[in-house]
Amino acid sequence: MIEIRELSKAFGPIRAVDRLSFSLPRGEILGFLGPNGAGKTTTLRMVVGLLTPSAGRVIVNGHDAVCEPLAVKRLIGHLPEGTPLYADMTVSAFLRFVAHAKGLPSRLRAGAIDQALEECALTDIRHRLIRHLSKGYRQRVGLAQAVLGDPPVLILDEPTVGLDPRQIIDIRGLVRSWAGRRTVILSTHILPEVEATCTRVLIISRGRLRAEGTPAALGAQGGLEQAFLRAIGDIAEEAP
Amino acid sequence: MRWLPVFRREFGAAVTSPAHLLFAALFFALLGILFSDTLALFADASAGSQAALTRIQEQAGSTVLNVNDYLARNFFGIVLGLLIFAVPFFTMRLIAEERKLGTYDLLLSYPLREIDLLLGKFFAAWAAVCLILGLSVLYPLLMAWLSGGQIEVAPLVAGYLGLVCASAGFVAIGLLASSLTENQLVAGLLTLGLLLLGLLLGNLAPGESGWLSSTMQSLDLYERTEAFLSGVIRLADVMHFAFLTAAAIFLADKALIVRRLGVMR
Repeated sequence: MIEIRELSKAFGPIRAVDRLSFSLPRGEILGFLGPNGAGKTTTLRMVVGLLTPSAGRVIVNGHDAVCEPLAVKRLIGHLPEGTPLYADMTVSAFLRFVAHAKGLPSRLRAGAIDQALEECALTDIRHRLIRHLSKGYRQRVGLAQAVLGDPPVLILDEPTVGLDPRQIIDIRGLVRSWAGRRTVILSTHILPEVEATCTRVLIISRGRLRAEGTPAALGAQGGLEQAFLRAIGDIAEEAP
Repeated sequence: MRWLPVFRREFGAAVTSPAHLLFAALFFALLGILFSDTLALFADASAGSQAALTRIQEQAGSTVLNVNDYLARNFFGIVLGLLIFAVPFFTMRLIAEERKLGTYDLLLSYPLREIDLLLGKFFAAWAAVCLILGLSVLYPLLMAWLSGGQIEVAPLVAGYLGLVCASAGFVAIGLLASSLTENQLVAGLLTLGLLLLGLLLGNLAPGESGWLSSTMQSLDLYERTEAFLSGVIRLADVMHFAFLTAAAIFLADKALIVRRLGVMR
């Protein structure tokens, strides 16, 4: 479903992403791990088409993200870093705007909005102003705009940052329920989150691919935490 | 028509936001204060005051008291002057705020191109400015009533057409400034600076002849609106503002694309 080939992005002399290649089959949930500043957000922005790669290609369901940006954007629901929303709108007015902007035909919009509200458990608060919502609810509104119109691919940039444990569990449950149905890339630096929700893991550091596999395979030697530290090269001196 | 959802959201936000409503109130308060001076002078002159007539003569260069030539002409001049200060306020947040809040990334993750975003924003801000212009029609109606219907309608239509054309150009320049920075204040001041510079361009021209002077004089915003406001529609003036608008939106699109190419973070 998603294929990344030799993807690179340089900001002046800084190589934020360096010849990154991986592919993700349909229905998999990928945990995209790395320390802060590893190039996670930069990579996701290139997949969505918000940033043009310096080199390499992003192919989503056969469409190139640079040559056919609109075709790729139609396949993707995106939750940007920090969950930006229009605080001065109500939840349902915001989702109506999103449905229109995503180009859904007007007769399908009301149904798609109801479905997204239900999926993210927002039906009861649909008439509230987004500015009056708690952080957990805002996050769910962010997820609702991403799943609106039922895109086959979801790109979520740190969807659980700043939430309380109860809210984190809710969102994990939601993401798990998509397995097999949607192809998801979830960026995070919270390791238990990956073990709880993802079918595959990819660890990057300084823009480069460091490790790839299933959570079980990567965690076989001393757990995922050790695998993470090994991958980013922090325990090299401790190894016998 | 991919820009339509952006237009609808933006226009809805513009007409309901308290800041904009407050600003519209301020606009009409200033317009009322400034216009009542002109009206009082005209009324004194009409009543036979020689001092008032002399002042009008100095300003307009004519001793004939005519509602269109003096009252309407001055009214349009005041509105144009206020627009130069009002437009930056309306346009400074258009793109800059979206970028600051991160909603810019949200918008562009939908199947929209940069130009769709810009067109939606441009038409929304232009419509919001035109709405204020539409409400100001109250003044020509007042003039018609006070003068007992002795006012010609055609020059008023030309004047309004001039204001609508000029505001398209002003809004497009504001949109361009807002595309260049994440800082609203910088965008607003840049717009105000460009508009004031445009207004003074003819006066800054070096000498009377030469290509540089004639170019500067023909780009002068005052020069380009003068004919409209005195009731003359010139195709060249309409084209001037159409071209100015298109060029500013084109450059704004290029500025956003350069940002997507991400040469710098």
